[in-house]
Amino acid sequence: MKPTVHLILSLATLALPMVTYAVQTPPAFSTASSIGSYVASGSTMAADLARLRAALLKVTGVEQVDLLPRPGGVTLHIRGPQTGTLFATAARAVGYNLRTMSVRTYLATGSSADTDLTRLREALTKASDVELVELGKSNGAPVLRIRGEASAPALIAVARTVGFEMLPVSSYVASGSTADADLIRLRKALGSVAGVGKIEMRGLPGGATVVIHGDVTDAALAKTAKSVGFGLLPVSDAGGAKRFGVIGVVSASDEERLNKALHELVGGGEFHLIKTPTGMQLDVIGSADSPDKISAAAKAIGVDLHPLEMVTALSVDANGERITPPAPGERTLEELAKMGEPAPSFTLITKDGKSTVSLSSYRGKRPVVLIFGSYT
Amino acid sequence: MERLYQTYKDRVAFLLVYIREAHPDSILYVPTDNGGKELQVIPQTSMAAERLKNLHLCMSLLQMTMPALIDSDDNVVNRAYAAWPDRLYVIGVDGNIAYKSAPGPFGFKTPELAAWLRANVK
Repeated sequence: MKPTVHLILSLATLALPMVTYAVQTPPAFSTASSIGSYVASGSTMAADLARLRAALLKVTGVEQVDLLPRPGGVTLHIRGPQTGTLFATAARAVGYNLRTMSVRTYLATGSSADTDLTRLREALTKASDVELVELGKSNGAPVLRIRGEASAPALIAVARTVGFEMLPVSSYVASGSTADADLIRLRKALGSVAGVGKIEMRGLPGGATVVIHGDVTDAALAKTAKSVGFGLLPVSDAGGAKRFGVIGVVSASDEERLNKALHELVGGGEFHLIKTPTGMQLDVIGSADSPDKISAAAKAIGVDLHPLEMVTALSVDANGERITPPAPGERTLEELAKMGEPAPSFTLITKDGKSTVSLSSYRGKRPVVLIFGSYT
Repeated sequence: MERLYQTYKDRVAFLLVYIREAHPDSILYVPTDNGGKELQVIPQTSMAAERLKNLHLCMSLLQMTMPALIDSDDNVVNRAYAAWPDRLYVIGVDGNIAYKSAPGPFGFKTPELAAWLRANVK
């Protein structure tokens, strides 16, 4: 997620490190580290790979970068704080397209006996281009979360050899209109993408969560969603980013202990501890672990995490920026302020909060430059 | 922008109109009393007091000194000018709209405004 502040973009003043949502310089989170898996496409020449490694090692907190060649690029294991956006930016500067390694979810049907499911997991783990297979349950049905670049058809074939049918499922957050007509259009458009089977949509303020059954690529879906006015952001689990209220973190050493415990979790992800007006909050992005697992890890060291309503995961645009969509009427009232026509009048409170100013007071005296914007 | 303001303020009125947050609940650096910076969540504003607070944060961080106004709670001016998330206008002495930028963020071009001012303000 690129750093932007609307007002600051065009200002020739300070170039301050404004960031939206994903914190780019995590304050106390640089001590403990975990290993994250990434894939980068680009040159496979040794000299270029060396430059890629060097660029990544320069990112704050990165301790180790291991590269393994793969078709069209490399697999990377990066030890350090898992700041995926910083890695992607560094990689882009040296000509590589870097992203986190694919994590795909599959529903499995065939048997619910633990021994059979273990066999399934083992068979999949042995498959090529599979890094990690996690077994879970969703509404009582077995669910597999598989990290790796192996294709869905390849894995489905493997599952069949041990008596299971696997159905790939992808979860997204769509941001845009919440009008029924627009959501229906989105559903129709997504349904027309090759490979898409069933679509489950649940409307939310600012858009919808979308779960798609089928073998699809995020890029194809995001492009289609964009063409009907929606931003589509893949999430590594159906719940999207996770947010917790935090109790029990008071000192810097508490933060360090929590950080350490969280980074030991298998699911990886980025952890951001934030002070809000209502207390300490932990945002988890891109973790493959369930909220329960994350809470348990914290509880083991005496920190209480209670899940909070994830209000803002819902309004995210195609670049991953959090926005509130224009309110009804905001984008359609262009006609009120037309070039060459009288400017809509107003009287607003001044910045000292004590007086008001009317636009009409300038008429006949001076031109007025109006700069509209906000902090975020 | 501050530079434009300083250059033209004797001939042109500059008004910063602070509207509702474009990216509410963003986590941004906010100056602290001891001169440092700390991360805070910037929520959506709906009341004048909240909006004034964010306006002051914004202006002090960006070191802008021009006069500023806050949009009313019902976001009426934002709507009238289709201002969200950010936008630039110039209102002529005759009260008509003399310059209207494309909608932000891509349309918010300070150099374009500067060019207009250079061409139209003596």
